Amino acid sequence: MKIDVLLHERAEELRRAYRNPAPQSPPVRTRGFHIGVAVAAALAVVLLAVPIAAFRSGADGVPGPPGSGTPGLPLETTVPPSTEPDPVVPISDSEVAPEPHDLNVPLSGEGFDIEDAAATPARILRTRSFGTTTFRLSERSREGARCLEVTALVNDVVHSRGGTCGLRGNPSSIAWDIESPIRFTIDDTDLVAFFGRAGSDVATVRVSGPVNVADTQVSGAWLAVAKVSGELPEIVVTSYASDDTKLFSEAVPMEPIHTGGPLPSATVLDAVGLLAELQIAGATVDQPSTTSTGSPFSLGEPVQACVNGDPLLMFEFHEEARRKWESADITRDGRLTGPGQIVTPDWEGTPRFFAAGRLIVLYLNEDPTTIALLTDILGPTRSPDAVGNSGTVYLSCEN
Amino acid sequence: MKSIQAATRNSTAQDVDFDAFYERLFPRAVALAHALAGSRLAEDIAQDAFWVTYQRWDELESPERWLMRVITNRSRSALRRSYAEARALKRLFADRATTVVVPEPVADFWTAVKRLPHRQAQVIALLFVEELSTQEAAGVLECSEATVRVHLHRAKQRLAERFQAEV
Repeated sequence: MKIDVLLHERAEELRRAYRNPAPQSPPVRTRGFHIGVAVAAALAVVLLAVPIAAFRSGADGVPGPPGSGTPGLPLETTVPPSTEPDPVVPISDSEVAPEPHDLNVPLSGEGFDIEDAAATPARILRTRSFGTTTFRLSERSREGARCLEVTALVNDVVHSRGGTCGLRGNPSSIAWDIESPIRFTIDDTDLVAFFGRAGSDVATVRVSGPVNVADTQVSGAWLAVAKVSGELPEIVVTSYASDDTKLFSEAVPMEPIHTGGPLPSATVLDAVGLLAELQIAGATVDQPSTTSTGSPFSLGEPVQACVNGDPLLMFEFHEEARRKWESADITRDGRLTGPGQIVTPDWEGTPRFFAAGRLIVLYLNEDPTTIALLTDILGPTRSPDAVGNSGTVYLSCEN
Repeated sequence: MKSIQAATRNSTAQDVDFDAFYERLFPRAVALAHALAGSRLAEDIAQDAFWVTYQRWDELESPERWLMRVITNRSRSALRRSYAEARALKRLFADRATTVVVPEPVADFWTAVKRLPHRQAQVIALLFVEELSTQEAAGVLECSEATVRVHLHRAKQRLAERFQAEV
């Protein structure tokens, strides 16, 4: 069959499906639907925010943990380049980093706003110079999201920057093989930075094409710069495994992101975000609410939801540093020790703790599907040696 | 809910125009988003694109082209977290999702398109789902017709290889 024929057939079948959606659940296709959704979402946010705020406020009085009450960090606080290998950063098909090229917002801000209390110091990954301009590729966490940034410095003074943030709070689940380029206009010269962050299975990345400054064979992050006039040059980025097997190749240009735009809405792995991720992955999620179970951490009431029919307990912290301080008290067998611990409840079930972003999650049941989903989203359990027991504190999804 | 709607904005002739625009283009918009971002995100992306279009309705010379541009851009970046959260909230608190049944071979095909380099996927979706000309697609994507043709050729090659078809 000719590919053109196949394309026309498949397109027609797709259009037909949306012209005739299943009758049992017709959409309400008026502008009021938008407003209805917005109001429902706003109500939902309020409903979830109340319990979350409740145990945030409970955390306020506890002194000591690193990061609590930390004011905004200096814009250009940096960490020297690490001598460690780049962290493992696998990515799945379902993950696409949001980009700040949002048609709904003006791209005329005063810079890529990363100066806030939730941002951590940047770690410089690559530096490349073009004349008097130096481009710096760095990464940092922001409210649990992983952000890649390109900063242009002219004579060592920050000129402008742009970047993008990843989807999830789990640092090991974020990677960008290639991101949308970022355009810088410096002294009437258009320079475009191409950049990316290779996945865990990638040993080298090779960049080819009419770029002026490029990493041609690097591991981990890469950065290339091109002077442009008119359309972007097309470059090809190819990833190779350690045995030189070709893994991935993509040609750009994509539409460049102009600097000066606001940061995309930060990805925050919080209770709402986790439930959304679980739903995307196919889990059934129901009954999110505060619970009287109490918290073993320095918090108020946790939020409980029912995932695939089993209870899931979520402890959300004000910031990631605080969560790390608390989750450091979780032992491999599911007990809690150290200064952050108030009491180790005698759980009924196997206390599997997960931690990522601003969340600590406790799952006591044995559904392998749910455990796999939690592992995928949050990373491996912090208590792999936990064993089941018949304690006195139990969770239930039965009304 | 109705009182909130009424308080938000009084109905005008432009609203009526927008409603007609919405009714006419919604199925096509969702199909385009499906081709680019998959079925689970399609309706959210389309709804969001209509909302953005509505906000700029009075100033747009070509709202249809604007709408398609928003969909192609948002399907690429997707801001998936936002959509995912919105969808989760909808399901948790206001379950009004559309049920669209797409036959498996069709879904498989558009999944393959979605996995193309995004410019190629956009060109395929605009030319075949939205049935634009190469000139119109170039306008939406803000590139030259030649660029559209290059991406189209590469996309067809990949899809032909994947589905054992002739170019």
